[in-house]
Amino acid sequence: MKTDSTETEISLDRILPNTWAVIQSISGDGRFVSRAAGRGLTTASCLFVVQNFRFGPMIVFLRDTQLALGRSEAKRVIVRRGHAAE
Amino acid sequence: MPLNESSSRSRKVITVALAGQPNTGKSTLFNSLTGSNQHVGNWPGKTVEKMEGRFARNGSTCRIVDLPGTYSLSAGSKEEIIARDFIIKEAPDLVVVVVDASQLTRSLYLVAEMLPLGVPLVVALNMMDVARVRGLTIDVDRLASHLGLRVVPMTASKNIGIGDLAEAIDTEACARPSYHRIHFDPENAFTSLLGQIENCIRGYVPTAHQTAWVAQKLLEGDGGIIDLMQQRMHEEQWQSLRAMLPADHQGALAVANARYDWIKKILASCLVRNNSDGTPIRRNMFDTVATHPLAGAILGIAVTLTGFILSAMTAFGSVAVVHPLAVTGIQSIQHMAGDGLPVLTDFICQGLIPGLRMVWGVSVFIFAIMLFIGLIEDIGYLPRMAYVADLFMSRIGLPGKSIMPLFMGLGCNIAAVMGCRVVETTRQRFKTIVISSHVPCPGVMLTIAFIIGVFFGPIAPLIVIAAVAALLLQTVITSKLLDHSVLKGIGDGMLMELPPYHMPNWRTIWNYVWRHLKAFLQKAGSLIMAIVVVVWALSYFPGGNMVDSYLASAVRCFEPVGMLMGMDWKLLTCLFVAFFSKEAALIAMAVLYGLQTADGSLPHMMMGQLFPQAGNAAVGRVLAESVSRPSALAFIFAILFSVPCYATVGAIYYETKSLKWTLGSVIYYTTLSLVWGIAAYQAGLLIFTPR
Repeated sequence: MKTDSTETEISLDRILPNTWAVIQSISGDGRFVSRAAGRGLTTASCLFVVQNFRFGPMIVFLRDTQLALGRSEAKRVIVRRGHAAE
Repeated sequence: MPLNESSSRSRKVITVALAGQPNTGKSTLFNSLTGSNQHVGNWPGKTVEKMEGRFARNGSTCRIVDLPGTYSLSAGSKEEIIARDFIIKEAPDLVVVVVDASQLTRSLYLVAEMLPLGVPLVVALNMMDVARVRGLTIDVDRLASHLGLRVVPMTASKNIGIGDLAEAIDTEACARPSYHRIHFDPENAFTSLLGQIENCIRGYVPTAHQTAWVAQKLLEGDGGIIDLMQQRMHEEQWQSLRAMLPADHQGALAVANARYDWIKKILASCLVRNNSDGTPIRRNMFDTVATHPLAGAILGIAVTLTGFILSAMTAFGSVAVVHPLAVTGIQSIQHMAGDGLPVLTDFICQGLIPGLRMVWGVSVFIFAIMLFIGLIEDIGYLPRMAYVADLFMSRIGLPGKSIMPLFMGLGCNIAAVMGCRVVETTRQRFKTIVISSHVPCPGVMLTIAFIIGVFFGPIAPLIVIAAVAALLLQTVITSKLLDHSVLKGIGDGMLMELPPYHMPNWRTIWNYVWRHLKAFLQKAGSLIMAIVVVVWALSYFPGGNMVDSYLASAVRCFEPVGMLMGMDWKLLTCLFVAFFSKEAALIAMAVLYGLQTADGSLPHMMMGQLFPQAGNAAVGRVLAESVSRPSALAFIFAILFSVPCYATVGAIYYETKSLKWTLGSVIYYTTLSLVWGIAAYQAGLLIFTPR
């Protein structure tokens, strides 16, 4: 699996630890999108990947909170590497 | 502050809903406000726990309803539906929204969602101490001004600000608020669409709702609100509204974005970060270890084992203390009664006293387990354990937090079922309850080990491997079955907050432990005692012994079913006795196959759970002569999947608060036991030459 590639937009599960990323889109059913939004995951929001072992769940930091995401959930979050001005 | 009941009668009662996202200190605040004046019940028609408490102030009685912790008010879970239905339909006098001052952006999201509801709101700005440690300075007055709400800074864990909040409740509950409108960014493409939707639905919105809130929910694609409006609108107007709504789920993101933008604008002038060195988060060494796939797993197992062993030692110690008292009591009663009142004497000595001792032992065990769970949850370690376990648990369709109850099940199924409360959503919790209640406890393992030893000597390891494989297979099957039947719907993948670590708040932990212990004694404890009485009666009457009892007669009726598993009525009775305690099946074998090591009464066999009788070798010899190997194999698999013991069934009832789920579990495991028993017997017939 190609990880943290130079592609413009990639899924969150491919971002390496200690990397900033900005959410571009979130796919999935309404329930997932709603759950994600309630926990702070919305488009244009900036997150920091705290832990990602390339398998199993991963940890991100956003809106002053550490959030654990399952692998399949992270795949639904499309991001672009970088640190948007908050 | 807690209400003095006697002095509060006939005073005015105001109803306050306590809302907030998880991990904002809502429970701590609830305990601080209400003290011991708490009541645990069920939300009407739901299996979600409802907490209520009261306190008195200035001649008024304040009824606090603790709403389930929710991140938003969407219709995504039972908890969210309960929270919003209560606010809209019950129209409390005031809603107190607990907000985490150290995570203001995300925490204010619920406030942003509640403001358009038009209900009186007060913001409890909790965890101010954590915010200060994190270098955050909040201009509370300015925040209150921007929100148009009373904002009370506080640290509930240290009892700071509780009085101010009580005063705010008193003042604001009497005030009729003017509807506070959130003005979304006009640049946002969805802002104009929201306006169009509002115009379209105006006049059709129920009086309890606010048009702006309904419009936002429609844009979010909220199923409940869409159904509501479809019912209320004429077909033509509904269709034109429908055409406005986004076909995909991006509306939900757009509304969420608008809310966060609004929060961001407000905080720009209220929040100062004094630690902006560019490092988003500083993790300590413990957190790095606790969330590491390998080190975290080892740590999790060690912590769980420690908690379990300490709890078990406490429970066994407490039973050892009361055991001599129980024996002395039984002997005294038998001595005093002599030959008179044989039925009453037998009931007290063989039914009541052993039953009470069982409830005592279980209660102490639950107390210790709850204390352990409450502690690791309160300090913030439990979510880390769940995070690490998710890697394995997700493969069998369970959330990471299920690892702890499943692990506990290896020691006691009651603890496993009680431990399921750490699992977040009702759907996942019920699934874990059903699965964890049949994790083989020491009683099952002891019984199976004995049967394997007697019948299968050299091939014992193969039987053990087959049993473990069957157990794992059945766990996956049960998980899938539930997903495709009663729990049909979209799964809950991991999207879990990892809250910051903090020192334990013993008052919150104590309230957690006491509330559940009390409820267990009232509900599950009484059910256990009722079962004890029924079982005693069935095993005593009409002849005063088990062999001629109604129980034995009833089991004989099932003999045709038993024969499918190669079991005669004696072996079938042993399987039935396992419902009371798994080890008791061994003692039943001793009695029914002619070795009178016990007095033959069923409650006496239950006593054997804690103080097993000797003589297993002799039982084994007789068994080997009386039971075939295919039948023994069937017995192993039947008991492996048999109905959990009656105390566990009581715990299932208490935890699910549903008779349907409790009976469903009993029926399911009875069926499983039969199916696996028959399958094992048929396989045994093929493998072993019948004797």
